[in-house]
Amino acid sequence: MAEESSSRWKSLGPLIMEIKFTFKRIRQSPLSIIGMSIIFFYAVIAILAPVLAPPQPGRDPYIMPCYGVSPMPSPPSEKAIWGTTEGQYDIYYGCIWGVRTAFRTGILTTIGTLIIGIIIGSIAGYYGGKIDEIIMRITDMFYAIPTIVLAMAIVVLLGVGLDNVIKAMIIVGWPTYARLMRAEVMRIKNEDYIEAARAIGCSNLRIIAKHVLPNAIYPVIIMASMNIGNVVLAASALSFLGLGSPAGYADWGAMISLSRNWILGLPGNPLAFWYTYTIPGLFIFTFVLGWNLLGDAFRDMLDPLVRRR
Amino acid sequence: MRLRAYIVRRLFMLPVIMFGVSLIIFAIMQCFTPAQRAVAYVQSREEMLNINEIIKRYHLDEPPIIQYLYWINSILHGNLGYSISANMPVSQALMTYFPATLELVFLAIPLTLILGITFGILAAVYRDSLIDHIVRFFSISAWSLPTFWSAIVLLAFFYGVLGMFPPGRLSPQIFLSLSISGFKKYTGMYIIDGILNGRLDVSLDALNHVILPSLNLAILSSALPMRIMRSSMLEVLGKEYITAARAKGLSKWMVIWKHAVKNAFIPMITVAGIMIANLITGVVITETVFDYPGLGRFAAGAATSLDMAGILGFALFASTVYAVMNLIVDILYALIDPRIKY
Amino acid sequence: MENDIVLKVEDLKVRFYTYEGIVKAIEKVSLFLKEGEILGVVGETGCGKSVTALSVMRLTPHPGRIEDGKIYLKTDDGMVNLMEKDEKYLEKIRGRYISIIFQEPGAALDPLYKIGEQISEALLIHRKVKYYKDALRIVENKLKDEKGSLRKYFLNIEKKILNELIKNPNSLFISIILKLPLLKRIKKLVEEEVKKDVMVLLKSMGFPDPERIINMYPHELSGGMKQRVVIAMALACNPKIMIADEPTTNLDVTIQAQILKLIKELQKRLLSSIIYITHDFGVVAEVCDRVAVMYAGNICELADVHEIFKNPLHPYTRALLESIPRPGKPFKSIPGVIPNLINPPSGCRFHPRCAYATEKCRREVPELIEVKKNHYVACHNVVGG
Repeated sequence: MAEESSSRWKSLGPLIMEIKFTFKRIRQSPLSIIGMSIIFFYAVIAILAPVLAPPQPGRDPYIMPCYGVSPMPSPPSEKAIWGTTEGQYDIYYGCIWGVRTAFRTGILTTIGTLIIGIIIGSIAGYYGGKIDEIIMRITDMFYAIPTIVLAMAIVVLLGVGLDNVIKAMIIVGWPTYARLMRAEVMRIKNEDYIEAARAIGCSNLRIIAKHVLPNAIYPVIIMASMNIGNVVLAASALSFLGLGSPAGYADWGAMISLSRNWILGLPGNPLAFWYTYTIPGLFIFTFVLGWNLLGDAFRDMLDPLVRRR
Repeated sequence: MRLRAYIVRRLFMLPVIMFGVSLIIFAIMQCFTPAQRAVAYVQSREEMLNINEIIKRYHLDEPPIIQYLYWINSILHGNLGYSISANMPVSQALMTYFPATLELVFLAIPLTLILGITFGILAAVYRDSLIDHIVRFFSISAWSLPTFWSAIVLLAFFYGVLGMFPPGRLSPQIFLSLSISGFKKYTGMYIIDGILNGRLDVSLDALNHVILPSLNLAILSSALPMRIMRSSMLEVLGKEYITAARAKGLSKWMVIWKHAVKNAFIPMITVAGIMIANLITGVVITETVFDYPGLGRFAAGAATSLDMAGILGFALFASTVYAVMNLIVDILYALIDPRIKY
Repeated sequence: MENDIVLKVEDLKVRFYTYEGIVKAIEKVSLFLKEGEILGVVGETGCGKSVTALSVMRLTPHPGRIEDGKIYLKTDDGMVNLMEKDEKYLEKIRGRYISIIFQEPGAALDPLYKIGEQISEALLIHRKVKYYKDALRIVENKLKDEKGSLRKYFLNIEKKILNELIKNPNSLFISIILKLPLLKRIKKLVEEEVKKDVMVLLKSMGFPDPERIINMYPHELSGGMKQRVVIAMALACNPKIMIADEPTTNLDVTIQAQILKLIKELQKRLLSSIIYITHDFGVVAEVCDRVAVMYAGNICELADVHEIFKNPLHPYTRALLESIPRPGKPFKSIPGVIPNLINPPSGCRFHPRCAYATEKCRREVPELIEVKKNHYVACHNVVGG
């Protein structure tokens, strides 16, 4: 039975087979199922955000509704189910729309770093020689500076704001994918089927597009998916420091940064404002955990020794 | 002797690396106009009005290559500009805040290593047991925790609820007493200086303040070594020389200690670079939350105040430290593994 | 039990608990080893030879477990059942009464330690007291000639510590003290004594220059040299029994011959018994006195080497011997594949591939019966004879 279906898929090419096998392995691992469920759950929230937390008309939906001017956060009430932050921003609203922000940040950054990394890495790997040397030296330079430090410097250069944070992370993040792509391209370059393609007269561009890229991209994409969690974590850290979204924006890191003055609560009630940091924090934690569980499962599957047991 | 040659060779790579770093930082600076860059060197209001004079003094409007040479020259003479967020020259800020961060890191790193390595080993030896599952759960959770969040939770709980381990570096009374009694700063690290000055109360107070930030750093940084140690121990324990050692009659824990741990340690060294980078990130955030007056808090303050000189000075410094640490790690690697050719 | 039996395995049962299911690796394996003989264990890859070898020393790898069986070993306290003994006892046995060498030359060597250190380790585990006594003798000799009182003081301390060590060789307290710089000399003394024996050992393995080898790391040696070092380590404490798990399979043919010669020589000199695991009948013919044939976790046939070649009774043994390629003969292989041991065939595990299989073979597991003198077979339809 398994033999028949597998021969059907075989005709669709090795890449499809690899993907199918990967998904089968994903389904077999309980941790990755948990990871996928978490991500799926958050995706649903993101899509249903306007329903779960209706935006106020005429306002940018990403700005949390504001119920007053008092700096002191208010506890959960009928109006604000999970309470408000400093400045009376609705925490529930912020957390729900924050899911969209998180997805947006993670996905945009990942796509950006992937595109740049893949292009540069392929060029370096395929053409080799001087071009490769130069590109490698450039990535070395980027590697020499710890990523958050460079990201902070770039944000200072470009100005504060979530979009600039995303740009900064893309600038800081592409070298990793470039390197990986280059290694894969170099490995594939020497495989026999490339020789064969060249022997029948395929142009370089055609070889790159049709043979090299599809096979080399696979591990790079897997690595990127493993990294989305870290991207969101870094972005929330930068927001927390005040370099990302402005106050009032639905961004979990920015919301927690609003709670900094209220961590110690009131005299006699140190946990008075627990909701200002605990709830957004839990969102960040579970969101990143989901991606990391998934990424872990991917990593286990990529390990060739474990993959084909 | 080949080792010595290797160390010398790697030492020579240091300036090359720093050259590359300086290029990137210079490139960032070039994105500003000469006037904006001049602000980095302004120390007072009068100088602010004479901006052109500053531009001329630091050659900020000449061709990039000339600018670069003058810039490197002034750095090597210790002039990194003036930090508006710290209100002092950048180089002075770095010197002032460095010991505090050093003290924090000196406490955090051993904690991290002990926590990570011990539990990684235990998880591998007692595979599939309760402790293995706890370790696996912990390492993936700690990897998903935002540093600032765990810092806040720790602060709220230990200081807010229990009243222990206050933020900051020293309590106000102790700090005042320092200037009164002629306290000599030998190293800048209060725990050590307290002992050297015969003032144990200073040491204990400093320890009291630095414990929570160190704990925060340690908990989060230990996730990676814990998981790497576990997986590398599992791999080593399956190797034939472990079975052979037991076949010689060595007891299980002697085999683990003498053969397994030493071999399992090697892959750890390859992730040391990542660990150091994570540590730097963690320091910036942790010091900010705990209001700890170190380089991390300085960097965060510089970034939010758009203090270009400050943040770039910090970037230069952090990269130097990073490069030196990577060098030490490479040498350690060569020392431990006789198989690698250098 | 006869007096000359040094090892007797009865009804050994080993199972592996894997994610994919329970692998019934070894089912009711019984064999015995006589003093001074070389018993060959032959079988295809995956039939359980290595698992049997490791299990005899109770070193079954994870996730395996010995479910049942008795392992009788002849020690100074008579025949002991290793299955009844705790880990501490086993640690005394391993390396001292029974040792093992592996297939991959050098895989048994820790890449981070020098050769000399690893062989010293083997010697020190079981002979600590002897070396402490040797070191003590040296210290006492030095004391006799020493005039200076300071030196005498230190020598007396060394003497005291060594005496303490002789009484209490595994004292943790003393091993910590020995790390102190002044007392490190004691360690050096002991190491020097051990080194002498290491050199002798290496020389007897055929190394002309042991002083050089001692300071080398495993990756600096060739395959043959590594295998000889491994044999040296295994024989360091003169065990009565050595298990050799395909020690020459991964070596060049010429080196193979050298190692075989070495093993035969050592066995004669030390009068030890050897269990020689291999899949090569040529080696069997050259080296072994008796042979056990294994298939899928069972012993099919057990007999003297001449008897096995002249008169193989089990269908599997016959098929194996016939499948040895010979010039002029058509190439003959055994039909079918090795069974999956998670769901092994019922009854006799060879029946799906056996030309003579009957209904009984499918139902009943055949017992290992002595069909002729010293010739045991596990088959319902004993062929020939």
